[in-house]
Amino acid sequence: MASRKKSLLKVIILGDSSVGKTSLMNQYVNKRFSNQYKATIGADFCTKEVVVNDRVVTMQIWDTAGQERFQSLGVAFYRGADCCVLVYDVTAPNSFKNLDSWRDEFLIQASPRDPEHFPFVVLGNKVDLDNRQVSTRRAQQWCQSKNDIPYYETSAKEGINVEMAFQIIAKNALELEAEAEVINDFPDQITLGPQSNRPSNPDNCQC
Amino acid sequence: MSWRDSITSIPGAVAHILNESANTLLSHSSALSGATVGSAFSGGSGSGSDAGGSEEGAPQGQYRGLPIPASLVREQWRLIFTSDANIQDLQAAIAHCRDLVLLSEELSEERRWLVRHLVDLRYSLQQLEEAQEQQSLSSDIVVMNAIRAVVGHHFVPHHPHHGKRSRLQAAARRNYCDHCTAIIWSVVQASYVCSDCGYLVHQKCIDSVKRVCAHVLVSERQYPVAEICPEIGLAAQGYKCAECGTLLNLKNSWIEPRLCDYSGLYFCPRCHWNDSNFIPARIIHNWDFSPRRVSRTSLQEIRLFLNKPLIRLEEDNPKLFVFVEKLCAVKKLRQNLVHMRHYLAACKLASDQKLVDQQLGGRRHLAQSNEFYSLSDLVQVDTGALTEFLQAVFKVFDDHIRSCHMCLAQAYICEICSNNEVIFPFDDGCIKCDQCNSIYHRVCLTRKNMICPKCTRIQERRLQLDRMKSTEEEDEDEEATDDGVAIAF
Repeated sequence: MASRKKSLLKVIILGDSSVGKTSLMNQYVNKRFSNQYKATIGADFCTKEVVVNDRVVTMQIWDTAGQERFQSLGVAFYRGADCCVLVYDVTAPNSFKNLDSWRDEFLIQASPRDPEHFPFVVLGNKVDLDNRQVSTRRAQQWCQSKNDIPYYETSAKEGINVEMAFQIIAKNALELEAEAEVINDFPDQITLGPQSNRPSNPDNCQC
Repeated sequence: MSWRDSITSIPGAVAHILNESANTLLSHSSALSGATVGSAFSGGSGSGSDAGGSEEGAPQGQYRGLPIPASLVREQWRLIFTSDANIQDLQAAIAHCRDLVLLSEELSEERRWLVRHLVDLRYSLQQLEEAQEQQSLSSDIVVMNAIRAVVGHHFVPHHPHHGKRSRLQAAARRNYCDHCTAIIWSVVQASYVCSDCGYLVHQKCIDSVKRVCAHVLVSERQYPVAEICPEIGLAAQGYKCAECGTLLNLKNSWIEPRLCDYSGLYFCPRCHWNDSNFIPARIIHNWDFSPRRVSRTSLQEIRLFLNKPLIRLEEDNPKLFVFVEKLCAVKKLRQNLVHMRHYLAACKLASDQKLVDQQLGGRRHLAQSNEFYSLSDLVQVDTGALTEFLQAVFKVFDDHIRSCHMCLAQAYICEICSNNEVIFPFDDGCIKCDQCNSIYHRVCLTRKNMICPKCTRIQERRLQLDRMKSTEEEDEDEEATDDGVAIAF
């Protein structure tokens, strides 16, 4: 069973500009952090081998441009994503408010099979800073309202929670895939039973 | 000399500021150059007498530069030199000129003149140093390497045989002196050519050149003459040639006045050789490429404007795009190339290959926007060469983008039909929303009554945020903090 699964996980990181998407990826993949800000142009990806559930999989992490002026290109790479990471800056309330639109846009462009249960992960970055503006409770409440999205607080600078968060991301992405495979094995599911075969309301009978 | 005319009208706008600062500098720089300062300056300051007033008494000691701005006249004795100045004088003048550049106002006439003058001074210094070097080697060799700066020209020795296959070929093409109009017998006569505008001149004529370098004119004007042959008439010109001031008289058949179709001015036959060239204004307004007669200076000027992307054709003449089909095609091709350039700029592979540079070279403006045209672009639109060129570039770019996985990853997917086919902004049958830059199939968007779904979402989202903000404010009044926000979500 395990050998039949594909071994590439596609993860997309989204969020406003300068929330630390590139830094998170760099911290996770290269264990490096730079204080200098350099806006990402277009999109780029890094790969990293991870072990999840005793399996080696390659994680393809797509880093995107948060700045609107660099969004002159399309986002066809959303298609086929296995997990989406939404990042906001705990010191910038606007970046938190915009998570909603990032999530909506992603679901529309990626059009996953089951949008309601697509695995998202929310990361509140820059917890090492003192001037925090978005409380943990507020973020958790939002995540709960969106079908219990896992929420973590990270610091790309100090490396806090980064490794752990990406491990969860990989795990969640793999779970989606497992589900998808079940569906693939039985493309036309027929459930036998009186409730599904017949209209529940006899008035609706089209005979 | 014309710069002397300007002495009479000193407005002293910047002059007194410059003067003040110069006074403080004076002690400084004179200490540097010591006794040599003031020994070889041309003409007394503001004396108005002709040059040659240096103590050495060199007869040909004349200033041959561009006219000095009136506000700088008081500085001229420290800036301007004759051919008999020595190295220390020049170094002091260079230092002074540099200081004045820093003190002058940005984009002012003074600064422009000072910068040009600084360049000229440095050329003169180089020339002088080379001459001394040569003299120390052997006194017989004539110095012909240094650049000579005269009225804005930068003259370098002209070697017509260089780069030609044979001497015969070189001899077959006759060269004429732009100053005296006589043939330059290149085998026996030394000649100079201006590295900026191509002005060709005998060595013997070099010090009497009157025409200001066309390169200087071009950088002053910044844009080719926009009116079609703006003639002012011979009377307004005082019956004089616009360049050399030779008296022009319709009765005198020896010196016929010749009209330059580009500048609208009359010239004498020495300054107007009946050269023909297309006229920029006639192209822009009339799409007329027929050659007209122009003066020498205009010819050189048009040549220098040839490859500069300056003309906003659609702004100047929007109707042209309606009835010149070739122009329409070029505009569309260029718009597509602009889209493609966004992809190539973001693509590492393409930048490693230098795809844009390699295809467009010096004509990058063609893919930067679809607004600006150079004169040679317009000529090539008319001949059809530009369309061919752009089509070839389009094909190379298209091949890359459709085979590069990074470029493909940043394609678009039409969210209305949401099928898996990737589309690009430069594809036929696709349409871009001007507001949010989304790309859709044209058919799909037409089905949606041309209302962009993403823009609708953005608008809804904005309304929602506004509502959220107002509830937040209410909550703040009630001193509830986090709960209110959560409810709003």
